[in-house]
Amino acid sequence: MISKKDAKSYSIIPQEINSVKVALQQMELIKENQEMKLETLHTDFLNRELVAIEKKEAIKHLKEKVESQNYELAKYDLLYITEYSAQYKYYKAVVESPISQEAINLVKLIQEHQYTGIVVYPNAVHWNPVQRPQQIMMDLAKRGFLCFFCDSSQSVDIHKEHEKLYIVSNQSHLLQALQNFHVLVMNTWLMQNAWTEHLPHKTIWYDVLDRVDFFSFYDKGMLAAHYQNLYEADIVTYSAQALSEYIYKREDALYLPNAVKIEDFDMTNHELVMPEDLLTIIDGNSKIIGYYGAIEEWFDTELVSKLANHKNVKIVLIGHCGLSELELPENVYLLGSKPYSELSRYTSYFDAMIIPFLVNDLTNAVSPVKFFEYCAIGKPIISTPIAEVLQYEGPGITLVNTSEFSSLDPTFWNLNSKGIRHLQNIANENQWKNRTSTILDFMEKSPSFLPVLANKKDEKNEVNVFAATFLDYEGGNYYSGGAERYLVDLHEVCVELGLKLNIYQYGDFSWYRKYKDIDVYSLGHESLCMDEFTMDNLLSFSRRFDYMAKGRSMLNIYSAFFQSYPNIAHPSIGISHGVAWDSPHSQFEDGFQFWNLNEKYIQSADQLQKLVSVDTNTANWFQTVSYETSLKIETIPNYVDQNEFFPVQREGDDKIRIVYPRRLYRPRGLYITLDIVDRILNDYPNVEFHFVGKGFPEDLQAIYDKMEQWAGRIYCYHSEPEDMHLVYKNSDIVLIPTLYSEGTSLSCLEACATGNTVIATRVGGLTDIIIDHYNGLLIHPDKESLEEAVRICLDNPEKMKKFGENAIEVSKAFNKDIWKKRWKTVVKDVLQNHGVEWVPKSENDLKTQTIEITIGSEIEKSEWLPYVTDCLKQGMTVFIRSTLKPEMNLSFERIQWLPLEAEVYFVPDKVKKFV
Amino acid sequence: MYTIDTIKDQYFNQEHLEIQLDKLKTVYLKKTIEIMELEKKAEILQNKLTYSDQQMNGYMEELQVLQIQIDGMEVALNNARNRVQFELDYANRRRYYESTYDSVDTECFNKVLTDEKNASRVIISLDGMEFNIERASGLMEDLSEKDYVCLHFERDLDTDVRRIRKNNYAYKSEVQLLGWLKSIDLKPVLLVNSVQQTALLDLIDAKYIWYDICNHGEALWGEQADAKMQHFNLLDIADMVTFSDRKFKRYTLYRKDSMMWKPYKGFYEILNKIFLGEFCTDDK
Repeated sequence: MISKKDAKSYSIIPQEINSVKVALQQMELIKENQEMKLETLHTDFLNRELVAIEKKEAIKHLKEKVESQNYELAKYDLLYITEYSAQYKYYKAVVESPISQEAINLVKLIQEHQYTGIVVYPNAVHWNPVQRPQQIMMDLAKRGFLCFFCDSSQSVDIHKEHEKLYIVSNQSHLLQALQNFHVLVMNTWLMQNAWTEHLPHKTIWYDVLDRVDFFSFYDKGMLAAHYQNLYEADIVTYSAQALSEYIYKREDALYLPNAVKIEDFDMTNHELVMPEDLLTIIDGNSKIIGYYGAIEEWFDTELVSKLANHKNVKIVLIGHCGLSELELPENVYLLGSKPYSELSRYTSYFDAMIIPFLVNDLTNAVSPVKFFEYCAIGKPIISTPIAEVLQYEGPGITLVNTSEFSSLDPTFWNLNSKGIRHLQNIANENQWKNRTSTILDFMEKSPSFLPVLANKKDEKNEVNVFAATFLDYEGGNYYSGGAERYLVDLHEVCVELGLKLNIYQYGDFSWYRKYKDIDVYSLGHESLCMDEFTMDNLLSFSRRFDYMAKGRSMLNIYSAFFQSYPNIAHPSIGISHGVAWDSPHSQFEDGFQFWNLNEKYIQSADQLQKLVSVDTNTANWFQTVSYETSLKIETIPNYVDQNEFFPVQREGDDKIRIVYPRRLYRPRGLYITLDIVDRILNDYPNVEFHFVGKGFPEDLQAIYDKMEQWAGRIYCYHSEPEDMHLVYKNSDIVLIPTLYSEGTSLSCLEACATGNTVIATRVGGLTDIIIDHYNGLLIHPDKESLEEAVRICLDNPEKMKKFGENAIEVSKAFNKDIWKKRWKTVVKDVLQNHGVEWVPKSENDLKTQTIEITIGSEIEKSEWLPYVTDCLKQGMTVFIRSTLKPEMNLSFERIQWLPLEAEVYFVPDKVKKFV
Repeated sequence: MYTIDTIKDQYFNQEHLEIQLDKLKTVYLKKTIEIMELEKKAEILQNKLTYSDQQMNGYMEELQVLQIQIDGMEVALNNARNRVQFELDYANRRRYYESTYDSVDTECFNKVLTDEKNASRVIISLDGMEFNIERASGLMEDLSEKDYVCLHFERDLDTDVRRIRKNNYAYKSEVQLLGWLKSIDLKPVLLVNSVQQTALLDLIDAKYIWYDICNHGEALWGEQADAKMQHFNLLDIADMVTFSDRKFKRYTLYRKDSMMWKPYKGFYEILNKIFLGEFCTDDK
């Protein structure tokens, strides 16, 4: 009965019934919708199933086609080369693409490590089962090398296997990341070359560990590739004596058989838990013979079967079985693959170990890793007499010919002390750590290993400048032009901020030089040089700087700013040394042509975060093209150091010296000057012309011709920037007759500061310095105007005097201290806007420590090579002067080879001679 | 004031309505569960579809990769089918030279030996691609000025042998050249810069071989394994190995004594040593 308390109010029940009815109707609708949806999904799913079947069929069909094409290709010996070419092209595209974020992360990871060198094993095998390359990588990592093992089966991009040892799943990213490092590449499979080929800086260690005809894709093409590898590799090793068939042409090849890491099989202090899949096999009554490794066509099933026929014997096989048909007795158990770390758990329950390999050319050329591991395990070994095991015959090792074998000797199972000792000796003498020592000793005897030790350690405070040239393409001859002097002074600014400024430039090989305290690097390498001045080449250099900068630079400066086209790394500042694109080629028929020629200037300025211009002309030009771009241009005019450039009382002679103080070539107005000398010298007997600067032979010849005509009145010489003040202090009129490509000329400012009368054209940023008829004459860029201006000066000494006085006053506005202060603000602002913080370093901490080593022609490399190796390991930068003509690729970052007589622009911290 | 009956009626009526409401609620609950089940089924199916989509993407990707692979293979095969195989080319050339050289007139070459006083120091370059011939002609011109008697191949010559200047000759028939070399007692240096030239080279018994690499491997032996192996063979047997650009040095690494030789920059002493028999091939 409903109590009054419980009963609902009578009036609301019908309402509630109605609501539920409405809700039910809605539910019905929802249900219908849901059913329809389900039906649609079901239909979709069925359709997908059908499509999946179709696709699977199509894949099967294509795979069959690949198979038949492979068969066809094999007929032409194109099996290897076709696959290789496809991979080669893929990796080529990778290194020609912008650097990926994953690659940048890898670069950062590399920078986080202190390492002796970088070692890579490109993708060939999986990490498991752990074999020779893996063991060597593990040991190299232990010795301070940063190792990357590429294994495409890994699901994560990068996995830290051990300290300094990483497994990388996508080797494309690694390829991009390593473009600016020198790498030791361990190569065991010829297909790895497709990746390795695109590494610019490498030492190749070709480790021949199987017969070449054993590999997939084997054909004559692969054999040819093997020989190429054999001759090109810096170091060649081989794992089995029988492989000498393939390597005999490399007399320096090193026999390096496989080995064992004993610790991994020493079960003394381990509490062992029986693996689950052994629980049903181990019964206490049977002896267990164990095997681990691959089961392929060379697996001796007959021997295994014969052994299985023994009473109370069970055989356990661990490893991947690649055989489609494998008939074995019931007491042979296939457990599949197990991780390397699990193997000892299994082997500790075995009573004996077996190597059941058919004896043939293939297996005779194999040094089974498992043999040495079995020795370390210390249980009786039964093996077929393959060549690399045969040499170790002795107690504890039973060699059997399968055809002759019938039964095991009952004593086989009991390993006596002799047997134990024999196996121990083999294991002790064949350890991976010994192999690594052997190979490192071997490598350290070769100069080609030095670059592996020479990767520079980046500082956090690095400001990297990308300039076309600072030194010449070979790393010699400092250009000493305005842009170079600008960078030298910018270096000073950075040092005062506690930052390290490096310069990267075009070059013919991978050189590094120092100019005073500035580190200058060539971005070139063995196959990227400036022999050809092509757009492709320039793009490659641009990409190389970009790859270097991203992940390594704190700040990037582009000098000139259009070096940032098309690749740019931030934080970024560009420098405009003036409008450099106003040459006589600036004649456009239409907008399209204009765009084509100016695209790189416009786009690079647009991409940069900050643009510093030496003149207002640059900003004004940009304002006509992109108003917004012009707003991010900050004009910091060039400067003059008044402590160096100041007026002096001229020595009393009656000569009037007209100085042309710049590069001796057409854009700077050389020829309009030469055009007027005859008339001026003729009309003014006390005038002399001085052409001061460097020039190309044909331009110099034009001056020499005039000199011959006007002996004693025309001079031509070069003066180093630090001596230029003496030239100005001894001159009267300075000509800056630029035709095009001009900023705020340093020569012009220096001439002003020393009180000279300046005659300049109205080109570029010269209008920022010279006010016509106030501190000089500003003229039209032609010979008539120049001649007229010179005559005005010569005819009006009072005017000249006034111009000189005003020039000194104007020059004070271009004080070097102001320039430095403004640059410091720019650098700080850009870094701050980018959230970059830094701890300033002292000037000494920013310097690279260098040693110069001279090697006499008669000196054996065994005398100097260990010393150089030690210097590199200690982090020094080594310059070797030698009469030897080493390969260009032996120079890389901290190891540089110089001809005996090479001129350098720095004083090494240490000097050592081997003469 | 309610009567008992009225209250009873009302009570029953209410009870009836409440039962009805309860039933309806049960139906509602059932429907809700049904819908939830349907939703669950839909979700499972949706997941299956998503998985199936991923699988499909995988298939599509695999198909694409396979198709690219097949396209690449087809291109490689078509190229292979359309090009003369090195082995066959070698055999054909060799057969042709062998069958014709002793029936041609070689008198035109004899004048070379009578005209030049240094007739024991003869260097001959062979036929090849345009770039091979150009490079060889440049070297021959340079060396003829250094007093070597040089002969280079020129396809469009109007005579059999033409004297260009002192020590410098052009010839137009390799068969005549072979016939001449077979007929005289002379051990010339043969400048070889293409593996195709080995068909002729192998027929000349008395010779010194100067192997000069002047282009990329793709142009010199391409993808043909036999041609590449022939290159290695040439490296092995050559008396001197040179290359024209640092880019090509890698092809010569088997020979540690290889060197860069650009036209007009000579390593003449080595050539002299070859002629004097001092040059040995041990340092490979």
